[in-house]
Amino acid sequence: MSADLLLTLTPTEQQDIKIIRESGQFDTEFYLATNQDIAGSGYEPLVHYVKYGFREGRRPNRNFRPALYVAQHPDAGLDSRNPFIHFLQTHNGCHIAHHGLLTRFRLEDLSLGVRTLEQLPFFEAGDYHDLNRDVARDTTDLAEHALLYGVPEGRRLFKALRVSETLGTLCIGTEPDHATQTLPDGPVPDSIGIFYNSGGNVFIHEIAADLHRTLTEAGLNCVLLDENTDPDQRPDLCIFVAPHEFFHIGRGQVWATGSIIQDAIMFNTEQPQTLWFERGIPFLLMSAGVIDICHQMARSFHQAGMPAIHFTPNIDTTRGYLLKEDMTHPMVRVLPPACRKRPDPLIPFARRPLDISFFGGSSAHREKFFARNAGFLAQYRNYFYYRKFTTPIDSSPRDRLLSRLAAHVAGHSRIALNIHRDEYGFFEWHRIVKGAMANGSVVVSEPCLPHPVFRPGIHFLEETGRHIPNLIEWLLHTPDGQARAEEIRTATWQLIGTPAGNRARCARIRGFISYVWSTPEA
Amino acid sequence: MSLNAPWMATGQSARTFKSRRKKPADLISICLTNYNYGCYIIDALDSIAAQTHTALDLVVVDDHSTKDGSVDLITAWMEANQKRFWRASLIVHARNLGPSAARNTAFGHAMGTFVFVMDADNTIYPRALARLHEAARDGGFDATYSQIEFFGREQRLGLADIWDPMQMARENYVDVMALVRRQAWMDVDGYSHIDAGWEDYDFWLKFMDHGLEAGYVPEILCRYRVHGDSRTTNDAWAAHESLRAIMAFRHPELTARARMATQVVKA
Repeated sequence: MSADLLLTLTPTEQQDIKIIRESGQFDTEFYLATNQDIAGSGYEPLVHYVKYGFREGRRPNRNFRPALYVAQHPDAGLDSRNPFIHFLQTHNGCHIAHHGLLTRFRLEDLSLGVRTLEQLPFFEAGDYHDLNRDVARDTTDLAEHALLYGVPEGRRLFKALRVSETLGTLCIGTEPDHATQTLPDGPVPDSIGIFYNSGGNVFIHEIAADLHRTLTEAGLNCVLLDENTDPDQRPDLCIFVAPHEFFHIGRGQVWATGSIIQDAIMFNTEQPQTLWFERGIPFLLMSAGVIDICHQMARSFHQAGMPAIHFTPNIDTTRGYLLKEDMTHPMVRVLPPACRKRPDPLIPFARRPLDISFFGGSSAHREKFFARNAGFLAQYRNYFYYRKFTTPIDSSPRDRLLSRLAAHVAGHSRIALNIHRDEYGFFEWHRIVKGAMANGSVVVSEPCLPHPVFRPGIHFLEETGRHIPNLIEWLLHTPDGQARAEEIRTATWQLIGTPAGNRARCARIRGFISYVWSTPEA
Repeated sequence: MSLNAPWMATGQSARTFKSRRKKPADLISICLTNYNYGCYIIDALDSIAAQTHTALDLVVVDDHSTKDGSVDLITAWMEANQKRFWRASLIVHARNLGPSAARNTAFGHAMGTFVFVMDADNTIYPRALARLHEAARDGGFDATYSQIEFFGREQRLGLADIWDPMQMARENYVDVMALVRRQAWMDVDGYSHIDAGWEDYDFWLKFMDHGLEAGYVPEILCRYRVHGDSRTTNDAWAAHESLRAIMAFRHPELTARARMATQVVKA
């Protein structure tokens, strides 16, 4: 800035320039690109903005829209003052200046959410634009748009190719855990609420109950709650299981406010390639920390700068199987009578009455596998609940037992088949570990994302779908296969049922909760 | 058309091969109806003969095939394979009466407590009848059905899922290929003839109107041939809307309940 120009600036203008410069939020390139008329004016862009631009409604960067801001903060435009200065002075550290469609969040929450989204490895601004060509790329912060409009409008956020590449990269690293994000003997909240949505998927309810039990075993004071709880009476720390459904169904929407979410922990169970995962993104990214059922997903949140841990609940070896009222359900009555009694995970491979069981919803990938192998599977004693209804498995009389039934049937099966929903190979803990392994069946699966504890070849068997029939025949019909099946059952049972393992998991989750609880607000 | 209409039993000729053994307690009848499916019916018959369940009462009804030598083919196959069955019968309609009447003819002739319904262009896997029968008997169902494999011009699975009257009132996802208690067939007055199609859907809706219950056996046991020349593909698609109206008229209570349930879901 030349000396004579400085002389022409009022003290207020000089002060404004200083404030804006210190904020680092003036985007010179953007200003020149969107205001080509000033290129030859001789003014430095920031000076032009402070002196004239703001009065003409010009924007200092992609995020700040003066008309929107003034509409929401009427005092910001008084006395011909620059509303951008008002924003910088009243929202220190924020770069998001309006709420978009997320009106129940503070600008602080949204700014943090957008920054975190930018760092989340599944997100790339260019991808978002490719998926949403109607968004004006030159004048819009695409991460901001994705969070503030994209999710509420049901747009896609992540490109399939990027998700695959990212998962692939996350599988390569060996970084096992985030030792820094734990306070082993630190303070913990006086009360913890584990929340699930009563209108949601029954499998999620079960995972929430398992989490509740594990935290109780870890010595934490926690209670299992649903969306009908009064938010004003909530415990000190809220853990929301499956935010992708919790905040979207019924009264769950009442809980979708910044003040609740910023202090909460989210337990993510969803796979990154799904629309459901994207629906959970605002709640995940604006929370205090993420527990993820998948190792690779926890790493992705960690890379985005969030406290994040991979965690799966302890398996309850004294758990209930089918309830008395389940026994009259038609899906139980079609079982051979020998398979209706309570299963015992210790019953050996050879003495199990069913050969193969499968539980899962229909998808193009599974359809291809099952149509190709229908004749092969028809030879065996199956329980094959391949769900064709497209409605979620909820707590209706028709569906509420299905989660228990999956475990029950696996308890009578030699082999529990795991065919993935799609090509991504997500390690579905609930199906593989809790549903199948814990009930003593041998898991035969298409290749999975690597799991830090359960290893293919030792705790389960992996094979491409095309060759799974060979593997099944080998297991069922050859002495070598049967011996291997018994080895796998033994190794898996020892791993799941070891008290030391349960104690270690309890210590881990307690340390993580203490870490999040002790970390001051951003 | 009613099961009690005496004129429906006229114009049939039957040929029966029967064993001298007394009727087995676990006898399953098979209702196999044919109309100009001479090129497929041997596959169907062979798949029935290959069943692991021993006690079978095969009832084939030819609904007056004229385009091929169906009757001669079936007769020859029965002569060669009669020993496999407790009883094997071929009934020939003197006039083409449609699939519902053909099935009713077969049910009327059947001697098993349960009757498996099948069209001549489909096939079943060897464990199908044993498994469906075991589940129906042990589970106390009026009918049982399995998941279906489509083969031929399409390779995919069927739409079968848990028996749910509300879901069924919205759309049919249970194929006609099922094991049905003969008494249940009588209770609902058999299959009704609906000229535009969907008799199978109508049959299941009648099942529900009568409070009868079917059980879903979650295995792939039956095969449905897709050849692009069935009556369903030809006629029913064209008449979809009028068929919906026919179903609503014939089953108003169920239709209304499903509509109310849908409204609750929307709210």
